[in-house]
Amino acid sequence: MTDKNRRLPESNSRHEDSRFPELAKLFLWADDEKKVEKVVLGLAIFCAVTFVIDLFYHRHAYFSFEGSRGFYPIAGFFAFTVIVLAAGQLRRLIKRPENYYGRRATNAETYPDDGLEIQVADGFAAPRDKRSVIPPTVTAEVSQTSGDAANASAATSATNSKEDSDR
Amino acid sequence: MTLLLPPFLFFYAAIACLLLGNAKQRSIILIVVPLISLVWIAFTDTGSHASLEMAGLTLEFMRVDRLSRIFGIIFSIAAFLSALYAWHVKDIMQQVATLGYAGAAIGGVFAGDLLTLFLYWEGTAVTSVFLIWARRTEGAYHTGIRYLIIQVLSGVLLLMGLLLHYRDTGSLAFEAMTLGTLGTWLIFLSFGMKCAFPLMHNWLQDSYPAATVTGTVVLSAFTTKMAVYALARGFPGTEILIYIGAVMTLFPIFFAEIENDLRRVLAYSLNNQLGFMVVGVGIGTPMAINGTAAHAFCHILYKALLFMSVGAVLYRTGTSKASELGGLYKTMPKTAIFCLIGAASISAVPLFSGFVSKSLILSAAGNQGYWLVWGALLIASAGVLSHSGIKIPFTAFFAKDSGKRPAEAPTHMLWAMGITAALCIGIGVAPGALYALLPYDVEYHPYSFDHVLTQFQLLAFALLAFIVLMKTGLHPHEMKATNIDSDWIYRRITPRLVPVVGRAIDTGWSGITQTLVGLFGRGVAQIGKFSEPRGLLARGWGINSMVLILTALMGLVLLFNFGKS
Repeated sequence: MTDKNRRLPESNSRHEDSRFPELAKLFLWADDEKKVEKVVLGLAIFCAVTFVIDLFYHRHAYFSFEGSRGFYPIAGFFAFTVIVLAAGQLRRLIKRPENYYGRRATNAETYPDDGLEIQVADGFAAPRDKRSVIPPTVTAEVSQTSGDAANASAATSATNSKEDSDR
Repeated sequence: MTLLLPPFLFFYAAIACLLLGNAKQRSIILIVVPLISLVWIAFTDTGSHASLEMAGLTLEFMRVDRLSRIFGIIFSIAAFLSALYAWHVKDIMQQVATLGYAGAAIGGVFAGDLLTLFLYWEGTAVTSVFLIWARRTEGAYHTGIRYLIIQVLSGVLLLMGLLLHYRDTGSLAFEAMTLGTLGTWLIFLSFGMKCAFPLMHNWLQDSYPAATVTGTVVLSAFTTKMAVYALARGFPGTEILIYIGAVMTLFPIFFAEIENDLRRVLAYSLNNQLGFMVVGVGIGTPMAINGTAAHAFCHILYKALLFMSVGAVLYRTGTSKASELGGLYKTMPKTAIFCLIGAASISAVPLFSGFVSKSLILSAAGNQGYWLVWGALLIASAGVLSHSGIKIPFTAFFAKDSGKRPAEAPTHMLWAMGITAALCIGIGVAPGALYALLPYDVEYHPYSFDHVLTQFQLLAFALLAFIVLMKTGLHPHEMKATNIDSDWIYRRITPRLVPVVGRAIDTGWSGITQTLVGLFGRGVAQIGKFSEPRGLLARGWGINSMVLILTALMGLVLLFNFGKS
């Protein structure tokens, strides 16, 4: 993963937090490792409780295998794990560069600007990287900068080959 | 009065929009028409409301019964919500296409005969493609063409099928059919194409992410659910559908898991949800058909909500790629919350809409003893949590901070998402109103202790697995890539093979013809040699040798005659 999108030096700094909308502050724990740990602990306790209930409570079941104790917790955990790991293997088989289908597909295409209203939130500076959120006052510059599509696609393929070699 | 019925109303409105120069007036029409349609469908009596005698055929345009009504209602709601979401759109092409498309889908649902169904079937194809072309890029143009080819092909199959079916049965009525004749198989195949059966599904993941921000929301509601309705009407209880549906729930989750474009992730997820509905149709019991109808209803809402939230992100940041997003909750918290509600609904968290509809299908599968299919649906449910429940909100709004600080979605989009989210929660909390709309009267209580407990177990432990996989670094990263699917066969290998095969045929053919011409020439030359002056056949023969040859010939004749007897 590149850090291309992290051009804004203050993006991750704490002093930015006060400028977020009140509603957003409800989620700030998601960026605090310690608080995330606590939430994970809460989830683990919840899992444990539901598992323990299963040991003592007799459920109505459609099938015998499904009625056995601990079926759903195990099914949930393993189904999820297997799906994710299998998908990772599938990727090795079917992954191609983003512009694989060329100009006849939208995969590597940028969405045309006139269908969008790209806008930065009030009180935030615009990042300088291409096609990031740009304040409405400087949209005129966008059309000029978007001319260097060739550079962008070159960068894309470079990123891809880098990721390939990483793997 | 007949001519003011809902499908026609949409078409008049589309024509009116073509003539209106004012974009805001068009937007108002787009919002009002679905509401009128909703009221009409909700309050009209069951029965046939418009039929036409034509060339000895009875065409039924407006068959209202409980199955068609619930689809008509949700299509009207979806048309209203997507129009509200697209309030800012000034593009007349998209506005007219949306009206025509919604009208055609509603018309298809109320079609009482196969010919009418065919007209609307093609109607949805030719109107909806403009929502893709409206992006106005080269990629979107070609994607639209691919989409149109497959959609129209589905219509052509339907036409062939209905003609054969008419020859076999003498009736065009659109009722339950049994697979067996070529006609019914063609109709089945046509429905399957629009319903994105496995290996016929690629048009969906190819085209929906290529449409405009608002166009994708519109597209997500109609075509595939019209096909689900058509299957529920035409092939309820067809056993093969159970297995087709089970495969449909499973295979897209792996593709969704590693797809980078969040709108394409949602397209794969849509495909997976259709699988649940198809299984319901295949089981065919009243409870299962109820499950299919209820799931289509809930699915249209939460899928629209998810497409809307990702669309809002695209609208504000210019991208819907997971690798370029993250941390957006900081400045788009409302969109993030709506996205989370959609994610909870599709993951079937208790108190959200997916829970009360999906469980009908799972219960129906359980009651009928399909343990393998039931197991597949359970695994698929964990998969849904993975790609739609976690991946969509997590990569867009949380995960690593992309540094992007986009403004919150525009007010009208927030309203559209808010109403949709409210419906998702409302249905989840009080499913009675939805259950009352279902085709059959069935007593069902989703909120039994067993059921809530097992669902929480499944989801909580799957979530735990996600955390473990993230901590251990085993979870695949988001990366810029195109993942090939079976459409690779017709998008890549066939176009490459055609010239090669063509050249091979060309070379082979010319080789064969040259050899044959050469042989013929040499043969002619040989004959010429025999007959030229002094040639074998041209010179005089002696009597002795003539007699000898004659005797030999007669001897041969005798031999053959004796040999025969």
